Amino acid sequence: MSEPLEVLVLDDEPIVGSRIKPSLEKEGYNVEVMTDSREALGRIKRKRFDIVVTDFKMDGVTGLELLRVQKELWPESEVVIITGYATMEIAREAMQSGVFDFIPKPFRLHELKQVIERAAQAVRQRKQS
Amino acid sequence: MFQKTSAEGALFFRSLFERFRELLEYNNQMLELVADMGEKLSGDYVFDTHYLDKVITELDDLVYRIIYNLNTITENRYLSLYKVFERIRTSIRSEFTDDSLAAGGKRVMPLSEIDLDLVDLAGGKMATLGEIHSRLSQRVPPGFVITTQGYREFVGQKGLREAMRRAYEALETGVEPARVSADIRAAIEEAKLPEALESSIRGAAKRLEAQGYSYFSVRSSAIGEDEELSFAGQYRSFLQVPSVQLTERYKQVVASLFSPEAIVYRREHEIKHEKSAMAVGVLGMVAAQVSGVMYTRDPEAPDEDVILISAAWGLARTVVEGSGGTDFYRLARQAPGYKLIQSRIGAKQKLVVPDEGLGEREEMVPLERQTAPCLAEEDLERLAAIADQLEAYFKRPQDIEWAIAEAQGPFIIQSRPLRVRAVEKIGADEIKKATRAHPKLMEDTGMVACRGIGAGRVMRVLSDDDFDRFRRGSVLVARSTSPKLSPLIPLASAIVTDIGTPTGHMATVAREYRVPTLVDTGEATRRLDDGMEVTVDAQERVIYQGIVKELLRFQSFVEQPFADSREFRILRRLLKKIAPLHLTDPQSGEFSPNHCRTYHDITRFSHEMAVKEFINLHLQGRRWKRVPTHRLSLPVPLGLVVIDIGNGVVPEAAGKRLTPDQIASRPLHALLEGLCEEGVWRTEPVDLDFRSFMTSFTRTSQANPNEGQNLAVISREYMNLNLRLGYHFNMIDTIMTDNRNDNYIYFRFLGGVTDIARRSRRAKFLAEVLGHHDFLVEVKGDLVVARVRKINEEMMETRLAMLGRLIGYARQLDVLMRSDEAVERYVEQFLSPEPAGDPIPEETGGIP
Repeated sequence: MSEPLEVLVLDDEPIVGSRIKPSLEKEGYNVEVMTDSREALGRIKRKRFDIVVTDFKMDGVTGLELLRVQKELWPESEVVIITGYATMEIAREAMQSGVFDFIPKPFRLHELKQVIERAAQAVRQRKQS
Repeated sequence: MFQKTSAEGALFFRSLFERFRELLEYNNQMLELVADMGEKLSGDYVFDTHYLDKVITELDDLVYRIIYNLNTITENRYLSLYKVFERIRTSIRSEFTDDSLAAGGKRVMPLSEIDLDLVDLAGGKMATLGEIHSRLSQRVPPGFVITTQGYREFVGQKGLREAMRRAYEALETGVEPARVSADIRAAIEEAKLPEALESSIRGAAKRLEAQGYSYFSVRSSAIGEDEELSFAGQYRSFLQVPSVQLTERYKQVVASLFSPEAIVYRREHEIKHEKSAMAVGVLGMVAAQVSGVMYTRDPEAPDEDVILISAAWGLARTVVEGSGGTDFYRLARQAPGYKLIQSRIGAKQKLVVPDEGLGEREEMVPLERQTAPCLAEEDLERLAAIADQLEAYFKRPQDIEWAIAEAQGPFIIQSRPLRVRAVEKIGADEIKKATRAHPKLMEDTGMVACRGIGAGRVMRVLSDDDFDRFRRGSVLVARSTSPKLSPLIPLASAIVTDIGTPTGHMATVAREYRVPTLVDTGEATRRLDDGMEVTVDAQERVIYQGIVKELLRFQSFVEQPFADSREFRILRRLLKKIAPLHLTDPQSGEFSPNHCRTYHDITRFSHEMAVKEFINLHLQGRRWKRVPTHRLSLPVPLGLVVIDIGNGVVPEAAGKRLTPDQIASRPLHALLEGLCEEGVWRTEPVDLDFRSFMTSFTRTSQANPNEGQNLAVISREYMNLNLRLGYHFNMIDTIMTDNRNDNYIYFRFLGGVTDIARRSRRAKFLAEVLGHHDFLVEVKGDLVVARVRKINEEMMETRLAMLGRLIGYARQLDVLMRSDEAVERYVEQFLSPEPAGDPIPEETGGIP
């Protein structure tokens, strides 16, 4: 088995992380959950996450800002945005900033897992090459 | 002044009719939104409070618009609905803040009114006990809860509040927590209870005394008590409390919320003391012959499939405190039943018994009983079955306190998560290995109606005979999500069906009992055989052969049960104020704005009144004078008021009375072809059997519904038909022209007179018939919505005629739907080339 991938889940509502974490852990990911976007910004500067799942609209740092920092620091990583405000505009902006995928809330856990699986494949391929 | 011309009248009418159509559309959107909210309870979705807020805002908006439109149509005759709406809306909004829930709650509540949704009010221990009683039907001692609202009234008194504030300020300046704790506790124990609280407690205690209980246990039930707080065990509880000591003991329990450990813990975790609250349970003392404690797992070896029971004579104190000799039993789970694998009979020299004067006293156990086992085999079996039921429901190993009184089954006194030895966290590799070792019988299958993992032996329930054979703990496999399976749901370890939706009635029940459920798997009844051991993974939508212990372990020890989370609790409470329908009978005096308790009541009432307004247009005086209203005479007993908004009737038809041949509206004409077909219309009331007869009594005041209250608004190419036949609604909205791109039929059907099982069957019948005729059909509970678009004239004609026949045929069909098999038979009958006129009742009634 290859090394487990590191996943960060960021959402200011604790329920989101607490539901996603066991579901991804069961698949073999190492999952860290955070609810404070400023702290998360500090965290991604110190630690390399392979996949970041982040809420879009948060107090402090927005998902888009976090996405930019993450991709700049760790270009081989992938960022998935989850949001309850799924507008065309947000989607367009996120896509331009290099988001891997964009999932409107509420979503089914297995939908998220499929997206994460695809992101993981992309990251692994990049790692090998 | 000049009189309105006919053209102006028609214009005016059209704008009002537009409001009416909007109202119907909002009504529909509202019902669909509510069904979606229900589906979120399946646990398959990740949602947050933002979602709840958004969906409630949408609902508010829809309900408001419905009321607005009704008032536009009726010249503001239902303005009082706004007030009702505001009242319900405020109450719904209050659900978003736990504090205001407590503030809106009662200070003292009977245990029988409490369940886990009220955990913020009753505390964890009492809410759990209430749930065990209300949901799992286990016996618990009668009692009441002094809620967190009561607590806030108590500590909110000026003197006490000041004293607590001073003590906490002292803590900031470095005073020892022990000292602070002592000061607060003294202040609490010295304070008087507010009069209202005191008298509520006295009243509730009197009611318990009237039931024969003269002593009570007074138990802490704090918020979050049994969760991560390690000092929780230090909250106080008292046994054998006489009513005169109740308030004193209450204060002592409350005071224990401020132990030095608790104060330190809260300081370290930055929890404001104002945020913590203590509810207190007061339960009648069960005059126990035997009592004890039961663990649903061995805390030292949580992987082993065993149940541990300890027991002693008399009141529970001996066992709980670990004083004196006790019996100890170890039972292994086996299919079916349990096997006693170890029993150690203690030397039980003393027992605690109730005492009139002192409350309780110790007594010597008679010599011959000292070394006799307290529990017979059947007691052990009964207790073990309860252990399994509670563990399956709470999705966690449980630590259960119980008592057996003479000639009565076990009472559950308390149940909380069992602290088990930290199990090695089960890893993904281990799960992968285990799931690979088990063949997948079905994969990527069905939809999750209730998320979770359940395992057991397959028991297919295909006919009524299978009901009695069903065993607790089996995996229920059935063809469809029939509401008739409801009684088996609490017994099942998991449910799998061939067809069905996650929004139906059965899915709702499965969620109530937290039974992992997969619906719409297509072929479960063929792929799974009776007696087969399987594991149903209603997360990944896989069914494994054999028991995958690792998956079950992951669920029990790693995942938090989603149903316990705050967001799910809020959603359940919200739905209670939105979805139930209390206004079912328009003939009843209670069918009025003031009796609306939920949003559904408001929308139901508004719908009825709007339809009625149009039907009675001709009675409404001047403003409707110019609107051409007619009564249509039909050869079937269906009263129909026809409003023509443009060339819907032939020009020669000047009078009030119309005959079918005077209808120029193409869609209505086509529909009447089918409706008036020979033999389609059943004139005799169908034979209501006793059960439906009783149901119809509760749902309606009279068994003879008025069939005159129907409305068709038509033009040459348009028809909007509103039928209330018996007690269901049927709406058809359609345009029929030469241009197929303009054509559509929208069909909506809701309600009925019989129980939900039969109504759902009729919904299924309609769905199949409509599906057969190319309609796109959605069924949610007993709501059927079907659409067909862009079909040519000829196809429109045959479909509308079919709908005409269907209206007559299905009118009272719910009454005949005694079994699930009936659905297919009636579908076949209706679709056969020469449809029989009347649905033919089954010869024998199955389980309804």
